[in-house]
Amino acid sequence: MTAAAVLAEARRDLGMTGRPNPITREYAARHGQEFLNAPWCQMSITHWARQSRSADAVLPAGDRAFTVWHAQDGQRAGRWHPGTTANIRAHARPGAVVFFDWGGSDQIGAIDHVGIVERVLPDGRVQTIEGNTADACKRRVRAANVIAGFWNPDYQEDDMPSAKEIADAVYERMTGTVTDDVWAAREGILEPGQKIDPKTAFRQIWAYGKDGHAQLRVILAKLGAQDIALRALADALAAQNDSVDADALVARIEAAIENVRVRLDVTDDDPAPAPAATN
Amino acid sequence: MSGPSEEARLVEQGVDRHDWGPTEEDEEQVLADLGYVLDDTGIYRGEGEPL
Repeated sequence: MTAAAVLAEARRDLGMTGRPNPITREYAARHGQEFLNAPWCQMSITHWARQSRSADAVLPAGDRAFTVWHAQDGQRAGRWHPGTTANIRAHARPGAVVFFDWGGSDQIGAIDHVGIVERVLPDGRVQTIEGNTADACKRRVRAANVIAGFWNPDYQEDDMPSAKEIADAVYERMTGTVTDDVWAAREGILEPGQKIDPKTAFRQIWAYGKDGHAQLRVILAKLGAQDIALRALADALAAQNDSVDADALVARIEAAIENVRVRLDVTDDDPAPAPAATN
Repeated sequence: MSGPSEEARLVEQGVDRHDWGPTEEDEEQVLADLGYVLDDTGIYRGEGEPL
């Protein structure tokens, strides 16, 4: 019994056109065949309320096809607001039933048409979903000059946060502050106290990975050059001294390099000699 | 044989006599700005921007 459920049903019918249609057929099946080809704006509200199991909130006096009666239901429930911009700003909510008088009055007896509020716009207008707007179900934008009034059904969701509020809370929960004892702070990559949200974190990881990859390519290039220099040096020694086996000398040096062990958990500032190399 | 119900008679007489109503000048722009997508039948569909 929520506004979101009613609106979901209304969205499902966007694009429905002509009559009879599923909405008029459903109403006619319960209330008489004369509704099959009747104006179906109010029947749409009834249909969406029933389909979303929100009839208790939206239809306190039962099914309605006549807009004036449904507006009076809201008035009897003490929920009616005349259609002024101030009232729309102050009271209209998604899921409100909004009634129109194309003549511009706020008189319930003059109501011509009805829709359901999907959004309340910052400028005091509403964006609606309406059945039978030119014999179709469409989204519309309506202003106070044609809104006779509206009422908010007693949905059971007043304390439900919006999707945006939930998303913002999740984003906030995933945002952290850099402390001075983390590796990235010690390395000077991040500033202690700096806020890191998920988007920034992913960008940082990407940038660091890109930088690491570039440095790795430089190191590999230098190692390649050293291999070439080592081979040239061994060949030169062998040319000067017949007792030198260049291949064996290169193999010995490579084996020695294989046995080098480097400690990576020592900083440059440590007093003890950092890299301990053995061969 | 009974005639139309009172509600059916009232609906025929008083509801949707001018079913478009006046269209706001910027209606299409507002709906597009809200994130809805216009399909080829003239219907703005989708969930739009988060509420």
